Amino acid sequence: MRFLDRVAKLPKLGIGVSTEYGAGDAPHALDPIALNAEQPQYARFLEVGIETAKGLDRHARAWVERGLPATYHFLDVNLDEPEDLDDAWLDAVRGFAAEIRPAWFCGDAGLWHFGKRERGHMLLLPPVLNDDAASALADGIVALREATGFEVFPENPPGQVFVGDLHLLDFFARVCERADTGMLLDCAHLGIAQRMTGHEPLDGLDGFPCERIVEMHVAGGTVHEHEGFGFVEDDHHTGVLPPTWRIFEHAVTRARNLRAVVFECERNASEKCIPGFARIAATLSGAGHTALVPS
Amino acid sequence: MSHVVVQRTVVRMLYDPVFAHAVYANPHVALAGLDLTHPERDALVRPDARAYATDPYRRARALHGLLVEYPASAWLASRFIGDVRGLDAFFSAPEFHDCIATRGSLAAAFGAYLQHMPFGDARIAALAQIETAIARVRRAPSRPVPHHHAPSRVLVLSTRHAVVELANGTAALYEAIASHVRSGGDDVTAFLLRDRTPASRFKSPVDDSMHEFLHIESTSEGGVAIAAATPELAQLLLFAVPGHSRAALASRACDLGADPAEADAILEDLLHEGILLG
Repeated sequence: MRFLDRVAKLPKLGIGVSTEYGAGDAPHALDPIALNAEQPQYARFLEVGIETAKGLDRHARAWVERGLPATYHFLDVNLDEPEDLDDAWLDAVRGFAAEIRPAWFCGDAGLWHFGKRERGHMLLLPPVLNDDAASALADGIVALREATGFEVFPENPPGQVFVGDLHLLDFFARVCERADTGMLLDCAHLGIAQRMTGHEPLDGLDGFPCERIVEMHVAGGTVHEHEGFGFVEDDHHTGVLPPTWRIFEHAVTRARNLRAVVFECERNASEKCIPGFARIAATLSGAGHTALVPS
Repeated sequence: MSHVVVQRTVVRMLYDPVFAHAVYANPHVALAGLDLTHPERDALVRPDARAYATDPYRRARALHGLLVEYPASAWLASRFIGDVRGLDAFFSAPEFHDCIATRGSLAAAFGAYLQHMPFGDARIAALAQIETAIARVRRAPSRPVPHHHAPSRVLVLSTRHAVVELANGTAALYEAIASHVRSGGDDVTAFLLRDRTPASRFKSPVDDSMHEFLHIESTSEGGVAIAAATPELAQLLLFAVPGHSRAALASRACDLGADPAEADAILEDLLHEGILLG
């Protein structure tokens, strides 16, 4: 079955929050369960960032024990390296998936670690933006999908160094087509990439197959300067930068198969996050995604 | 595959500003020998050079993790280079670049660096030998696997075990310095930065004319056990690293002094304990 048929069977998760091991222990961090109880429209699902060496923390475990919806966000696989999808890792992934019962898998399609998967090797870099890398990444997505039975949606990663002859959106259009899959469009990451490669925030979006966008991320960032060089740190602060909002508000009107939006603000107090959630909800409603923001 | 080479080169440039500078100055010279096309070499220097340097703490974070695994050799090395931060030079050393280029282990590469650098005291290399073996068994899969892919009916040493041959006195020196570092609290890096104890406090000589052996094991509880090994057991386990038939191992055990019945019992015990896999 082709992706555009398969996507119709995916649940409409709505607006959710993200977490990763230890994030909920940060001082005054957002409590997804409390938010789900108090303002369920903003925490209808939890995107669980999983590094298999760490697993689920007590916050993620508490969420899944309540039977609430979740997605599996991988944090430790280089999808363009076939040797990275080894049996031990896949066994661990299947185990966590059985526990959280995700609607789908997603995650940054970049370099999560150099060398083998071991302590001290972690980092996150964007993929090399060329045709060979797009094919290798697509092969990895198909392999993970077949090994787990779940849809696998690549996310455009953050970064400061983007190398390759393709525009990031052209690159991911090729990946999605070759893997016949959907896309997790991280609007903050795209804003960073556009800035670092000398593009305007919306460049390339009109040529991108937005019908493949299943999930979107919105997150705050901070502008820093190093030796006169300005760059954005993707720090998941609640202060969402204007280019991120522009991208979100533009793409959401074209993403007819959108199923989920995450406001990545896991280390912030919930009261500081509410304005961001509210703007996301209003944008979704305005774009006709009413199923994602039930009243 | 060349995108893999490009990606690994990006990693090297992110960690090593000297290398990055050389690539920007002349990518075709600095990247000579790598399987990269001219456009790929040019692509590496298309971003603003400062983009590679936006994380000034990248090396420090990585070094912090390595110091935790190499407390004794790093402590002794820092007595000679004046400041443990000097070990940051690892990220510009060939061991680091080879590690990234060949999908190697950063911890193993740091161990090799500590063993090869002429810090001024041969004991540093000996200590690094122990800590390299510890780092290696710590990374072994929880399910035992052989050191090498061996044909069936061959017995091999499990990757959860290592045997190191050391200059006499190294084990005692290691325990003394590791204990000293442990006494400084959980933050190894902070202790290494503030400690002013002179190297002369640990005078234990190492005698390269005589050797001792340590058996290092990754335990099922997630720790590492270190024990002295008899020369005979150590020689037998080292012989098993590439994998040999049971008959060959029994023959080796006999060469090392066991009678045939003892040799068979020893091999049976080693298999039972998961030290040998077959």
